[in-house]
Amino acid sequence: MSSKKVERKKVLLMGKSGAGKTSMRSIIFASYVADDVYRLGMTMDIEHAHVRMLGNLVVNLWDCGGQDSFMDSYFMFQKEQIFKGCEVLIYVIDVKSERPEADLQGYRDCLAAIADYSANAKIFVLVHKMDLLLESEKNAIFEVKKKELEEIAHTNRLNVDIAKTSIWDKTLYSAWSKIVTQLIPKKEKFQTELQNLAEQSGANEVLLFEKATMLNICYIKNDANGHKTEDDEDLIAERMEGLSHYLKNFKLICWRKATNFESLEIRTSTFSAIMQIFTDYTCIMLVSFNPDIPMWNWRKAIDRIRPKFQKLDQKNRRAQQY
Amino acid sequence: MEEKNSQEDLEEIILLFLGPRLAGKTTIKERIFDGLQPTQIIYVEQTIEVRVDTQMNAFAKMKIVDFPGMKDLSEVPQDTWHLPASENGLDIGDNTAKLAVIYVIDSQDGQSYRNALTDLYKSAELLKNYNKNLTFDIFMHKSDGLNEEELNAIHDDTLSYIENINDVGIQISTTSAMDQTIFDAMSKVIQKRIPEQAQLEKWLNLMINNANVAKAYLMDVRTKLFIATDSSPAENTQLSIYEICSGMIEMVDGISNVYEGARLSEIGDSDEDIMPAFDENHESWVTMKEEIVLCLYGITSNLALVCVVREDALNQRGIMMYNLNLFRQTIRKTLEQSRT
Ligand SMILES: Nc1nc2c(ncn2[C@@H]2O[C@H](COP(=O)(O)OP(=O)(O)OP(=O)(O)O)[C@@H](O)[C@H]2O)c(=O)[nH]1
Ligand SMILES: Nc1nc2c(ncn2[C@@H]2O[C@H](COP(=O)(O)OP(=O)(O)O)[C@@H](O)[C@H]2O)c(=O)[nH]1
Ligand SMILES: [Mg+2]
Repeated sequence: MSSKKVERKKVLLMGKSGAGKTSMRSIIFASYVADDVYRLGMTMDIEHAHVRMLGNLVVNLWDCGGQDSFMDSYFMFQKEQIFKGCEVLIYVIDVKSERPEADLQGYRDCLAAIADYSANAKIFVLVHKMDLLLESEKNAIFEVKKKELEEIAHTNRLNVDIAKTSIWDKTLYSAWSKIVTQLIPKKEKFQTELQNLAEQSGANEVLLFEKATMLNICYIKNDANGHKTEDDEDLIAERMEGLSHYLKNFKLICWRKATNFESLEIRTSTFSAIMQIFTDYTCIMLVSFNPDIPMWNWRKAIDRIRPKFQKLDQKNRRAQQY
Repeated sequence: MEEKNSQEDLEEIILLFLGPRLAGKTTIKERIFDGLQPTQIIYVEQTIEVRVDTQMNAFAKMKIVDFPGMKDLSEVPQDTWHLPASENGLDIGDNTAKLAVIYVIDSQDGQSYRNALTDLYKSAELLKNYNKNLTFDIFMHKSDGLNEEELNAIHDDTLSYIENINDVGIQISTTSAMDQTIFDAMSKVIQKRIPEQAQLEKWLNLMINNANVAKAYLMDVRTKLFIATDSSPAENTQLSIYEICSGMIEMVDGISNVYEGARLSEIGDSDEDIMPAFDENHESWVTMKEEIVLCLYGITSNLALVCVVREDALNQRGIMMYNLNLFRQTIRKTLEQSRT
């Protein structure tokens, strides 16, 4: 109701012009999938995007050119305005950049500024366009970059989380899932409640997705009914990317047709799944490899715990729909 | 494995794409049969040689012949038309083959459009003499760049022209690879070549009445072409509904693939080739915002029934399910019979 209650959280998405910020943002937040990227022009001017997520998060995009003279003025005169009260900083580096030194300078400047104004911000560095490297050289090059970036962070007494990404594969979803998950308050409570739900409902998996992006923000695996625990992280990441991708594509089709969908139920010879809008900002999904699970049971179970979660994200509450 | 065998027995439909260069033939073929996305159509390359692809679909064995626009059909000797492309033939079978000819015209190109009509006439005459069993369709393509007025003008112009050809009932469709119109038009072409089509439509009509369903499609899971729909009047929202239905197939098929992969890796069977995950017992429901529910029923591993249901009709879910199941059994039986 009153805008006072809305506590905005600032997310800075920074990197040199051409690093891939706009492409990334478009895939994660707006109505583009990877094929559409060529349509976007280069970010000539500073782009100040406000993307809303989880109700009160605002993502701000900034080009940190290094070579751009206006960039200097940002850091000179607007430093405080840009960097103050920042929850998360995401710095994007083009792994094949033609001017790696300029990238690093931009990175140094950002870190110095964040250390001054938002020392508690969580920092993610995305080493981007990894698809341009040969499979055989990927790891070695990434490790070198990672070390370099970490050292710079340490000189500013900051910790950074570094991931490799590309808009052409699942890594983008995985990296952003991690970022978004980071922004969710009271995660531990989520986890316990959902673990309980998994056990009570007999689901093999319980998943939460952020509603606007369809990014996976919570993954619970229930081994109670004798399934092997083999938490291969890569396999799960791949699965989550697949789910985000398919759910999101359908959502985009619905959007284009000025409609939307509220729930999904699937039953095949080998599995059952249900997905529903859960709270204002999340969707929940239950999956079982037992195809005969009674869906009404699941619907009830979800309805039963929904109020608890609604309370949990009360703090973020805002009278708006995406 | 049984599935495979019965697929072999399917009848063959030959699709022949004709039309001037750059009209959009290859784009249409790849968009529908190879999953090309609208955003990728700029990468389609010019066709130099006749290209033949075959594909197994829910309703038929499709042979797709893409004829390069840079060539002239009248210069290919007719006695080589039945030969495979590797022997410089067209691979369009003999005079009894089920041939569906699609003549593609670029409706944005006012220049070549007139020439295309002349060529179309020549080609139609030649083909009619060759195979009496053919159907002939014109796609007024690339409609995405034109407004309704322009489209109507071109449509009427072409219509008055083909009236002179006076024959088999050439049909004109306005299409674009950027949207759903191309799937709609291609579905109608295919439907003309499916003998069970009329019967399927009758059953669909009966089913939607009994089950209180608003609209229903029988769709090929892979291409999203529909081989039949009920004959309830076409609203202008119909293409939207069809697009949402194809989107739903894409989504549930995708999710099924994800979990079929997960299941196989859980039971330590991940090395095996993952079979298409859509299965004949598939059942899914999507609740839309406007109190509309979409329901998808697997019929075979590549044929699905998609129903649009108003939410209040779900009060009698039992009756609906009963009728859907009945319909499913009937179609399965029919398909089996037509294959033996
Ligand atoms: N705007 C628009 N462009 C299209 C559409 N369909 C195809 N195109 C474009 O038209 C051009 C020619 O398409 P092709 O599919 O290669 O044409 P073709 O008929 O196979 O041409 P040939 O191989 O020379 O016979 C490509 O650049 C496509 O991107 C459409 O529906 N709308
Ligand atoms: N190969 C490759 N190219 C990318 C990737 N991400 C972005 N690009 C390309 O990089 C260019 C600049 O991207 P853009 O998003 O405008 O960068 P921004 O200036 O940081 O917003 C565009 O041509 C994109 O297509 C990626 O992961 N791999
Ligand atoms: Mg071609």
